[in-house]
Amino acid sequence: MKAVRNKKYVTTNNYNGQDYRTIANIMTSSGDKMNHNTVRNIITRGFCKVVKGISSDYGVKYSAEEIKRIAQSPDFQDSIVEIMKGGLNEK
Amino acid sequence: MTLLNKEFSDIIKNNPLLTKIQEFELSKKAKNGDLKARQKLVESNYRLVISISKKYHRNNVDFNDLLQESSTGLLKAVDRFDPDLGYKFSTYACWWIKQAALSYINEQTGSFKVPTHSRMLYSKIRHKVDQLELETGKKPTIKQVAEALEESPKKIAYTVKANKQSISYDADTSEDVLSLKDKLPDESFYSNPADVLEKKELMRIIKQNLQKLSPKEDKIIRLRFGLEEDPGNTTDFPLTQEMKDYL
Repeated sequence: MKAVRNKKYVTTNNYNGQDYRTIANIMTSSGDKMNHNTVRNIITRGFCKVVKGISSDYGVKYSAEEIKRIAQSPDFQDSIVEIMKGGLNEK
Repeated sequence: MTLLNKEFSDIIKNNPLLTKIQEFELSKKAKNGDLKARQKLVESNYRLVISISKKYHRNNVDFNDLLQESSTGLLKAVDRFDPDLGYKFSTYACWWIKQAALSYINEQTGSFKVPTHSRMLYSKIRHKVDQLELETGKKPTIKQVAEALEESPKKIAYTVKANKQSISYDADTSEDVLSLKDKLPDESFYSNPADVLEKKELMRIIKQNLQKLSPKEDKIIRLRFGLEEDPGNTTDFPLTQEMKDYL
């Protein structure tokens, strides 16, 4: 029997999003020169900011590694994206 | 067990099966407007109605109602039967009786009416799905079912969607007296205000922290997860090939 595995990756297909290289091209053409690695790092950094903010609001202290692990967790990213979608709808 | 109405049993008792010659003569007379011959032909073929109705009887349908409805099929058959073609009356009538019975069952099943042909196709789909599942060991896709039934995938998907079962919130479940409505969790604000307030607070905190994202981070995350800021902005959100085909 196959063991049930936790979700490991966030697939952009679920969201009709772009891959890192396409985003890098879009950003470069609009004046922010970057490559696909930079795009990935910026996404992680953005989510890290959110994790840091939420944890400090709740008075919890996480190490930098823990923050990065949460920020890169697909479930966390899914939830944040859903909230961002909701925010757009509210406008 | 299905209980037969006394009126029906009396009719059957008093009208034995017709011979082929009797059937031919009565049909001829009925066709020429003889009402007595018509009635005799109808009454002598009630057995057929009962036999077919028994086959189609389901728990949610009243048997006597089904008999009445199937009888309308028999009447139609009597009026349209052409004895000169040489077929037996029962051969012709059974299709009309089946049609009337199925149409009635279709009207009684579900909270909204789905055309009989769609219900029939749905039944075929279900059988085919079971068959394919047995053969391959996994659930077939819509495309596979469509190919097996020689129908378009669009039609199969539409039929499955149209024939989905719906149940009433107030309907009693067979296990106990509680209705479905009583079993559903109450997720309204009043059932657990503390929990709802906590969730609201978390949402507020998350939204507040999302404001801390720099414009560049915000834009990249939105691009990555397909969160469109402006549907007309095809520079930052280039159209995919699928969308181009669609347009």
